[in-house]
Amino acid sequence: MKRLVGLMLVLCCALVLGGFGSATLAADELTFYVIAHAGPGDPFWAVVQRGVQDAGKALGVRAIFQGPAGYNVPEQVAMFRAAIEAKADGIATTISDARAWAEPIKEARKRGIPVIAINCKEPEELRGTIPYMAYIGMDEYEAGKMAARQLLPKLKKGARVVVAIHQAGHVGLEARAKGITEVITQELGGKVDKLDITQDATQAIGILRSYLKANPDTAAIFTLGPLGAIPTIKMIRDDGLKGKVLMVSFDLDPTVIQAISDGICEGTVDQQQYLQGYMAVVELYLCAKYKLNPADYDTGRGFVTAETADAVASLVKQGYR
Amino acid sequence: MRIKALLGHREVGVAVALIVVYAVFISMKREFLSAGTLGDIVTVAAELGTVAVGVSFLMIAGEMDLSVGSNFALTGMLLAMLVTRLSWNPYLAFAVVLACSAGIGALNGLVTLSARIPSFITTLGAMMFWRGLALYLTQGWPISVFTDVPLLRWLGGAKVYHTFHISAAWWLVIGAVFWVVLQKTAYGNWVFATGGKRAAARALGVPDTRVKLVNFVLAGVMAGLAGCFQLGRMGSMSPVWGQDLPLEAIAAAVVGGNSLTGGVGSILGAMLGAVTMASIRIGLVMVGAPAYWYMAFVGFIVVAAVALNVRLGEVISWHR
Repeated sequence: MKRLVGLMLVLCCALVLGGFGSATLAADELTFYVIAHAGPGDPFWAVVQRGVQDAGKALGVRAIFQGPAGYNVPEQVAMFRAAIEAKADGIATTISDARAWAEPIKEARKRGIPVIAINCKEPEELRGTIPYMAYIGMDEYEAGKMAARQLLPKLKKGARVVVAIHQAGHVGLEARAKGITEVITQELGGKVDKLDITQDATQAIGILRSYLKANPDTAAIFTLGPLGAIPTIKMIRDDGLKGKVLMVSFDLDPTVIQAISDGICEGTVDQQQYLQGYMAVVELYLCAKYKLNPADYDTGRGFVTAETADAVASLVKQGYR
Repeated sequence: MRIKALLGHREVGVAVALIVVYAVFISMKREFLSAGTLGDIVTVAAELGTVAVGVSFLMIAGEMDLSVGSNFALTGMLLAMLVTRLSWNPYLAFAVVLACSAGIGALNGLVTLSARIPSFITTLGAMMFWRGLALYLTQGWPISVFTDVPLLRWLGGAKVYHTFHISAAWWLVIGAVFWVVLQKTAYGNWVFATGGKRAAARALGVPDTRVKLVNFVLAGVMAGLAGCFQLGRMGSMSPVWGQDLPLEAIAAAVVGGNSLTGGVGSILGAMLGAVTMASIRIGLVMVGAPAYWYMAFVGFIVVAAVALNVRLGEVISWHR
């Protein structure tokens, strides 16, 4: 009996110490947590984790990336609370739910732990209800404006463009659409239609085709993410619209990068999530060390075009983009 | 002799596991041993544990419920929807959604018992069906309650002390009630008899079918109640939350000495099982280990604790 208990103890210790023995380091080392609503099993977050780890190495601090296996806010909140109890010197988190985050972040700040938001934040009407110190991520609205401006030189005055939204009502996507619409109407005097193409690729192609039939003067299509871009690219290929209808998209995806190389897509906005991990650790470090207040950082200034597509494709493979 | 009597308890395996987990984490991170950490652990354990108590009660009667995670999400979501979108009275809405969760449990029981198919199959189907319905109702979006609803504070939002949420207190009350019913009442004996030797129980006049049906309903209600606790604590409920809950609840139950085939088990053991799992979850983050270790760790604990229980059982019967 005793032997069995002893064996279990030894096994447990071996598992723990063998698995992550390096976890116990000097107690006075600065420790920062970056906690996302999904883990490094998701390629997007694997890049963020890379940024966190690289920043930790560069600064000589412990930088820990954590996230639940799937999208799971309660689990993320539990992780955040554990980081508070571990007396972290700073925590960065995604505002994955505007309601659920107000209280945990208030508590962390009350206990003197700096908190930064990364990747996503609460919608406009709730601004100021969650006391994080700064936001590091893409400003969706500004990104929309930038995407539209990239296309301005190639469009005639008063041109007609269509914004294909694959998830109507999605706060982030709507903000992107708003930015595009403002630039096209105000700076080009153009006409903008917003089209709900749904997330179903077959339906999306059907909806876009009938729109183009009804509006043959359409000069460009904006898609707001890979889910909208992939069917649009297929339609442009199948219907031989290359060069007749321009296209701009958001976010990186192998299909989209290929389409950029092929000249079907003019470019795509990259939110450069590596920066969201890296800069979060840097700002938390500066805050802990020199009491420098974290500042907002817009990571969404990346725009991938035909010139950069090949380089980006190889960086995607290496896990930096 | 006294030690032997102590070792005869089904909770020994999980108690040893919990002590080992605590010892390991404290040795790695001093802060693990603090009121704040304990509060966080118990808060996480309360939601998992409420489900685990219901599932254990059903498992002792010889049945299984895999639909508890979907029931959890659907019930919490319905409560959020009724209170926000339809502006119902929160207390009325609470009663209605608990009735719904009872209905889901009852349906599991009725289908299993009348169609004579294993509850594993029935509730596997139910798990998918109710999850699908929850996703359809909100189109995949979470629902948040931004207004101050006293009921939600009472369910889980309020803190009683430091990081201890009120849901932990409700969980202890629930656990105590189930423990008393199981250990001290005739109904408890029926539950053991139904899950143990069903034919013998029936011959002795135990209404085994009714016992199973009642336990299905209770497992459903506990799952729904846990969903309401979480809504109270988070203020939001997403149709995709609670997907791992069925297996976690069963893991907590078996770690705590409940048998998969019924007839034996312990409510206290299941509760300690939930605390063990919550400790692993919080502890791994505190020592800075990758979160994926949680799964591996729980897997190890499940097998080790059950093996220890079996071994103990053999030793005890040998010496009798």
